[in-house]
Amino acid sequence: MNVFQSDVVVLDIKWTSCTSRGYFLARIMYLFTLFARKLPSINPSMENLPEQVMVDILSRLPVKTIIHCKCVCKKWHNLVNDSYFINLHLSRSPAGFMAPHDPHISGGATLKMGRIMKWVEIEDELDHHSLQPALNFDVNGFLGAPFPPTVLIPLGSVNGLICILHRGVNVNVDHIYICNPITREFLALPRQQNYKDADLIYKFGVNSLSAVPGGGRAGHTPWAQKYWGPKITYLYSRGPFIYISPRAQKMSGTGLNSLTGEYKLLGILQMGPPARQSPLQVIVYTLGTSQWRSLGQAPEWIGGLDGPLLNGCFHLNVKGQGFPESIFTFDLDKETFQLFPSPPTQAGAMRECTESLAVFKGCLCKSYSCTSDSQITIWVMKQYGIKESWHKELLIAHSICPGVDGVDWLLMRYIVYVFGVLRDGTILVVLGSKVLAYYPQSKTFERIEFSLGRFILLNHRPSFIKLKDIDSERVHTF
Amino acid sequence: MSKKTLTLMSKDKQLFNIEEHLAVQSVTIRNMVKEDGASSVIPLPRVDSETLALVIEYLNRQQAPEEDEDYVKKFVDERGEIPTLLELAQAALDLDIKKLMDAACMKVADLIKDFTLEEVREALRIENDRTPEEEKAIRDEFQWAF
Repeated sequence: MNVFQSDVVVLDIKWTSCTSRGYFLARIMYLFTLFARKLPSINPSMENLPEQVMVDILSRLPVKTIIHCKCVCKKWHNLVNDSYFINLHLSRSPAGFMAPHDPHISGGATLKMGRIMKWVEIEDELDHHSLQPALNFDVNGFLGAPFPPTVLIPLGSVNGLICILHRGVNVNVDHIYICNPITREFLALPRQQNYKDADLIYKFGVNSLSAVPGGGRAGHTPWAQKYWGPKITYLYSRGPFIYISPRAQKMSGTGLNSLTGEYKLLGILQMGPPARQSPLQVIVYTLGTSQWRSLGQAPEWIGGLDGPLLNGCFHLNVKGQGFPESIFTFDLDKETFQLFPSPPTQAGAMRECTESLAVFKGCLCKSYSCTSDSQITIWVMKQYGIKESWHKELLIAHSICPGVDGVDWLLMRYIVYVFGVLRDGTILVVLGSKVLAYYPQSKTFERIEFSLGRFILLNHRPSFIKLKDIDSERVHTF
Repeated sequence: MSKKTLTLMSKDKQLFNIEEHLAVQSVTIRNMVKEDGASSVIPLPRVDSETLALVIEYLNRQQAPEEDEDYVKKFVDERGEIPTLLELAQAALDLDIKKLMDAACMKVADLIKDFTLEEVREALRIENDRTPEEEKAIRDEFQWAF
C-alpha cells in the first residue's frame, strides 16, 4: 500500500510540472511500468537501510544531485543537513577550481572578476581534452549593482568557503566577504579602522592539521592560488594578504575533521602611505570574534603571495636573496612565522627564475621556471619537513610547451605551477594564462581548452559547510 | 598446521564456513576472535544468506595486493543491481569490511547520480513524504541547482 501511495504523490508533482499533454501521458506510462516492475521485488529491508549506508552513498554524489536528494524525503533532507554528512562529504569532495567569469567583460587588461563563478572539477579524467564547468554560481546577490565599476578579487577558498575582496574603482573602499556559494550564505568582515588608508590586498586560504602528506585524496587537499599580471604584483608589493584557517579537530572514531573549529584570517600589511617603505605588520582575525588582533611586525623575509597549506601551516616563498631558506611557514595554531627547509638549489641561479609553491600528490612541491637553463624544475618534498627528502620530480624543457615561444620565456611572462594531479597521473600545469596537461608516461604536453578566459583561479572543493555554525551573528543569505 | 575454520550464520539460519585468516578481514569478526576465540557459530542477524554468500566469496578472493583494488571494483560491478549492492553495503557495514563498503556505496552512487528525483525514490524504494509545497521551497532555496 505504501508503494502505491508514493507513486500517487510522484504523479502529482509531475502533473504540476508537465508542459505538454504528450509528455504527461508518457510519464503516466512510465509510472505504470515503474509500479508494475516494483511489485514482485519488494524487499522490506530496504526501508530499514542503516543511515550510515545512506549517508555514505549520498556523500559520494555530485553536489547538484545531493541538493536534488534533499527533495527525496524528509529523512534524507535531515541527513544532508547533519554535520556528520557535511564533514564526510567534504572529505570526498572532488578537487576543482573556481574561475570568475563575466560575460559583460571581454578579456581586457583590467582585473575585474566576473560575477559568475564557474566551478570546474579537475580530479577525474579530462573530458575531450577540455575543462568544462560543472557548476555556476552568481555572486551578484550580495555585491549589489554592478555599477559603479568595482573590482572583485577572489582571495582564496577553504573548505568550500570563498573569500572575495570587493574594491570600488573610484572610491578607495574595500570590503571582504566570505561566502559559501552552495549554501548561499555570506558574511562581510568588519572594516579595519587602523589601516583604512593602506592600499589593501588580501589573501585567503585554509589549513588543516590532519592533511596527510602523501595520503592521497582523503582529507582536505590544501589549495594553491595565484595572481599574476603587473597590476596585481604592484598591488601586492604594498598591501597585506590574508589567510583563513579552521583549526581542525579530530572527531572521535571517524577520523574526519570537525569543521566547527576556529577559522582565522591572517593579514600582512603596510601601514601609512603606500609610497613610504615601512615595516610590514601582521594582523589576525578569528571568525566569530568580530575584531582584528595585531601580531606586531612581520619578519623581513616575508614575501611571496602564493603557497599552499599543509600540516597546519601556510607555506610561502621568501622574498629576496641571502636568507638560509627560500620558503617560510606560518603556523596557524601558534601564530608564528618560521623559515622552512627548501630545495637545495643554487641561490645565484635563481635570480632568473619564477618560483611557486603547490601541492603535488599530498606533498609540498616547488616549481622553478628558469630562463638560464630554459626548463621547468618541479621539486617534491617526499617527507614533510625533511630537507634531504626534496626530490627533483620533473624536468620539463620550455621547448616542449605548446604555444609558448622563447621570447615569452625571456620576458618572464609566465608563472608556472602545478595545479592538480588527475586520477590517471596526468599533471595539470598552469602556465601564464594557459592550462597544460603533462603526461608523465609520454613526457608530452597538451594545451587544454579552457573557455573562461580570465585567469584568476582558486582551488576549490564544494562543501555544505554552514557559515552560520562559525559566526552566528553576521551571516546572511543571498 | 591446520587452518582454523569459523562458522557464520545468516539471518535465515544458514551456516557458512570460512577460514579464520580470511574471515578476520572483517574487523567485527577479528574483534570477536580476539575476545573469545569465536569457537561457536557467529550469528549475523541482519545479513541474508544470498548476501552472506557474496561476502564469503569476496573474503575468499585470492588476489595479489596490487590487483586487489581492480578485483573489488569488478566484484561490485558484476553485481550491479541496486538492491543487491545495498544489502552488500549493509553487510559490509555490520561486518566492518571497509573496502567492500566503500566499493558498494560508490557503485550505488555511480548508478543513481544521473537519476531524476522520481527515479531515485523508485530505485531505493523510498516513500515520498514531502508535500509539493515543501519540495517547491527546496527548489526555490537552491534555484541554481535545478
